[in-house]
Amino acid sequence: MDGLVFDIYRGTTHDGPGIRDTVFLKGCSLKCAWCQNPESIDKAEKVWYNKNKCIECGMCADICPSGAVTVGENGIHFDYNTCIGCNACTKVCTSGGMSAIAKRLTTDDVLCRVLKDKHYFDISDGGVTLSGGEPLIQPEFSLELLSKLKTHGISTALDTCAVVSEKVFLSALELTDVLLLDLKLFDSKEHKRLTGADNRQILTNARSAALFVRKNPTHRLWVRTPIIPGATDSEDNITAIAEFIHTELIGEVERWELCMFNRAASSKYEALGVEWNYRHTPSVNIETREYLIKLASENTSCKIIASGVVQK
Amino acid sequence: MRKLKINTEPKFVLSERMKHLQERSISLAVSGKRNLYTANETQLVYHWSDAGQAIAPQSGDGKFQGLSLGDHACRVDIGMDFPALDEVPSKKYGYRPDAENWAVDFAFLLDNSPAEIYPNETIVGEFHWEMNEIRKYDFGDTVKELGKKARELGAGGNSHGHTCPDFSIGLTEGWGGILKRIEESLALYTRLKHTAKSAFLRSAKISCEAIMRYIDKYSRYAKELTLRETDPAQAAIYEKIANACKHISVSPPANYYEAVQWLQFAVMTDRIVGHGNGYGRLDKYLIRFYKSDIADGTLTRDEARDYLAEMFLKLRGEFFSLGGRDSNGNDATNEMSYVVMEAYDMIDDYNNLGVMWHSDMDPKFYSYVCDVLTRHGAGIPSLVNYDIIRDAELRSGVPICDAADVAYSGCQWFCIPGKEYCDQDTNAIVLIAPMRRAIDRAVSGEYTEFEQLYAAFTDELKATVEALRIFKDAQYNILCDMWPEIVTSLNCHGTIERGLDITAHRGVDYQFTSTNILGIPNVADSLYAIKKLVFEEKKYTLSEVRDAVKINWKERERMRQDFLCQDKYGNDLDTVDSLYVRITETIAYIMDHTYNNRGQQYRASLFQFQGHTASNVIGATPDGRLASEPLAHGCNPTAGRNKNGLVATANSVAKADNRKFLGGSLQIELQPEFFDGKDDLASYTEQFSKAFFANGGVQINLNIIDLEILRDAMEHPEKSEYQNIIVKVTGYTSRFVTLCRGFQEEFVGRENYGKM
Repeated sequence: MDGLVFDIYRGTTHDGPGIRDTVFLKGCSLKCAWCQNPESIDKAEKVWYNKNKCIECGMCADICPSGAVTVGENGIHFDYNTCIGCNACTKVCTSGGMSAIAKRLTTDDVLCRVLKDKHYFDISDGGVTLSGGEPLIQPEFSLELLSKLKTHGISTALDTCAVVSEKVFLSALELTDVLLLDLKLFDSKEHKRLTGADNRQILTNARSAALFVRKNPTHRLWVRTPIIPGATDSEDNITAIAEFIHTELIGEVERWELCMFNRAASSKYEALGVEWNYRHTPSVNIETREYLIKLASENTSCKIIASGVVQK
Repeated sequence: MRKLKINTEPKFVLSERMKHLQERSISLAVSGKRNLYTANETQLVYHWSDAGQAIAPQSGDGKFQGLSLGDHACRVDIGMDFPALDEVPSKKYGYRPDAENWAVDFAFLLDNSPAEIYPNETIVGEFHWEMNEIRKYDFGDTVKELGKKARELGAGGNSHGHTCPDFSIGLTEGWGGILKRIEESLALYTRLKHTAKSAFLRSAKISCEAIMRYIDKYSRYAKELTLRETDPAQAAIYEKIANACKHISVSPPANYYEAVQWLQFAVMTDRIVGHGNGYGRLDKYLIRFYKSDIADGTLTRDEARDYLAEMFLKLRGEFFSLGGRDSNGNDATNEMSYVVMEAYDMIDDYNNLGVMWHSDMDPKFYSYVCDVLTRHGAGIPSLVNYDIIRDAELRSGVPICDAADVAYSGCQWFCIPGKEYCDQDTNAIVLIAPMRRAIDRAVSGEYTEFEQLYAAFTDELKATVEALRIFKDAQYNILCDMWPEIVTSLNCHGTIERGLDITAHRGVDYQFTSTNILGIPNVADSLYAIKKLVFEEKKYTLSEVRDAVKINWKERERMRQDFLCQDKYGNDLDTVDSLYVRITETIAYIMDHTYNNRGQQYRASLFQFQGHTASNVIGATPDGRLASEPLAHGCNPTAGRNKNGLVATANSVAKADNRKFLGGSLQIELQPEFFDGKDDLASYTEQFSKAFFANGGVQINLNIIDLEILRDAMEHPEKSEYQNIIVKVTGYTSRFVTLCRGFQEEFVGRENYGKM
């Protein structure tokens, strides 16, 4: 079974307990306005253009069958939407200016790579995290990979937005030691407006996850909320999520992480040739962070963690 | 707001007295008075330049312009030449390259260096001039000629200390006890009419007596200050200093305080010789004094910590180690190991400690070590895999009774204290040179197989090592006359009894030659790209590669990118890593079969401390590197080429069999945000290091620092918040602002993991 993997980052600390490898899968069921991995949203094989690496030799434009790459007065121009992902350009590009966003790998390919790091997982209670995109948008691949990881004694984590069918979600839960569940916005309309889908399915899956963890206490449930200025950082939103965690997730959430927005993804949007509304959005200020932590702590009994850069 | 470092509440609060001492120490450092320089880039790469002036003059009136390695000098520069320069005996009465002539100069230098005691100090001792500033350092034309030949083939070096005495000798016998042994031995060899040994022992006697007078001078000066001082508290401190110095000028230290003061003088007088030794296991040296004083109730833990912290604030460049195993293989960690770590934890200031971890180490101690390392984020201490360094000594033929005593002694190297002249860290092989010659041979010989090229590379490397061997042998033949290490020899096993300097043939039991290897990852990346693009895909010819590299890839950008974008070492890719391992095995094999004229083998380090920054001396390479870009540092991937995360890089580095080498450190720069959301920051460091060591890694230098902020510090070095940022540069630590710009640029260009 193969899948589209856009990165395997080895030795992470942000995606679950201990020292971990994170496998990033391409394709997402949401389209969040603030997305930090915009290259991962599209399910299709695609190419992107890295201006910093480009030496402007023009070979890509010569070979492109779809006209997505052209040479104009300002050098190379790449149109992400016209690109058909045939990879003709990446084969002639020597500098990596044109590169495939993701590679097609089998579950065994991934397994072979992460098994090399088992020492690090074992000593730190770490393991492998599937992230994305939305890993469960490639359900067969994800479930097979999770299952193989379990067979090899590797602890698993799944970073999910939970916009997937309950059936897939429940199957994944069985194979996941630590579920990293994203709860972004509690207001369903806002959710739809900013992510492209409402949150009914998310909340249903979240409840299932809590029930599952209660019945299977070796499994763990972590919640993460991106703190996006003007979108998710309101008092109402954090209080509402807190109440949901407290009452409906029935005390099964071990920790709730508030992940502060940053602009690191700007260069990715540039490489895709996509305008990003958050390009100039400043970091969360320190007072807001402290206030949100306070709100979160007052309304839940789980452990609150804040991560990411803030401004004074 | 970016975080420069992980900021947490300090664990120990500085007393007012310690605060004053720290302020003075910092102000000396940031004003450049503790800077250590290297003459030029050629010196940096080959540790030898045409001038043959292996030791760069450091101080004086500021006329010396070299590259600053940072505040790594033990001496304090006061901006003036040695006042009695014209009166130096070898200048006044004639220079002779022999030990006695050397010792008379050394005694003169000490006799004419002032005793200096500053308010609030209880640990005293400071110096301004080193031997290399007052005495000719010249190996002569024969050596210089051989040095030139060696450099043409990519090798160089000078024997320049970089070994490790055993201070437990002096701490047990005192300078008086050492002197007594010298006199007995001198009497013996005089009776037996061995003129050379007698001459060495006379030199040892002159040097030892000079050290005793120098310490006594401090006692007399402190006594003077006692009489002048009106504040009774300060007068009591002066008196304490006077009594201690009086006592230890002859006798072994009577208590912990005197032992620390003894070490201060021992390191200082050793450093006045002008080199970079390591000094052994600090916890082992001090534990008996500590225990006995604590039992007597004459010392508190706070006092013990303060005395050590004072020494750390005064000394620069010294390396001490902690932990390891004892001669029975048991954990050697003791209560003193904690006190040493606490002293650093308290002052948060530069010092080069190494903790020798092993699987039986007191877990509480190792957790504390990782906690300190993580909180301060300055690479202090280095984490070292004890079992690997012991095995490396065993592999060289050192019996277990001695190998067990091994101590981490410098940037990445280690030594059997007092028994080994390891001649470490200032010999170098630039691996690019034999590769280049191999490519030339392959072009003219029209090789069609990669294996032919690799065989040529092996041949050429042998030629480079052979040139180094001939050059080093010529140095060794005259070293104990030209620049003996008499002061170090005073605290060695057997030197006095044999009447031989540590640098003389068989002066100590083990006299290996150790050499740093520069550019292994670049050669691995280069040969891999050539293998693939020239021999397998036949996309380019080897002569095209040779020519492109020669002209620094000018107008060959597309081709350069092709070479640059091949698999690179440092990503845990077996394709290229296997070639890296093969190269290290080739190096080890050649070293195993190369012996110096003491009959002892060569050993290589997968390390070179700053030569990688001097890229212009090296030129471009077939891995797609431009001449202006730094080479890889030691066994670490070239900056920017490792993209799969820290663990992938660590796996690549651990693939070499580190027991075959004299160290090779994994250098890591992590962003403080890497630890965001973690409850127990130190546990990551602890777990990561243990897994790395279990995989066969030998050393970790870990900075936790935001490189973005350091980039700003480069542009605004005057800002107060940037004055005291301490980093592990490569094998040593320094304040960032005191590094020369080239080193700063290289530092901020490194991979700062954790951007995910």
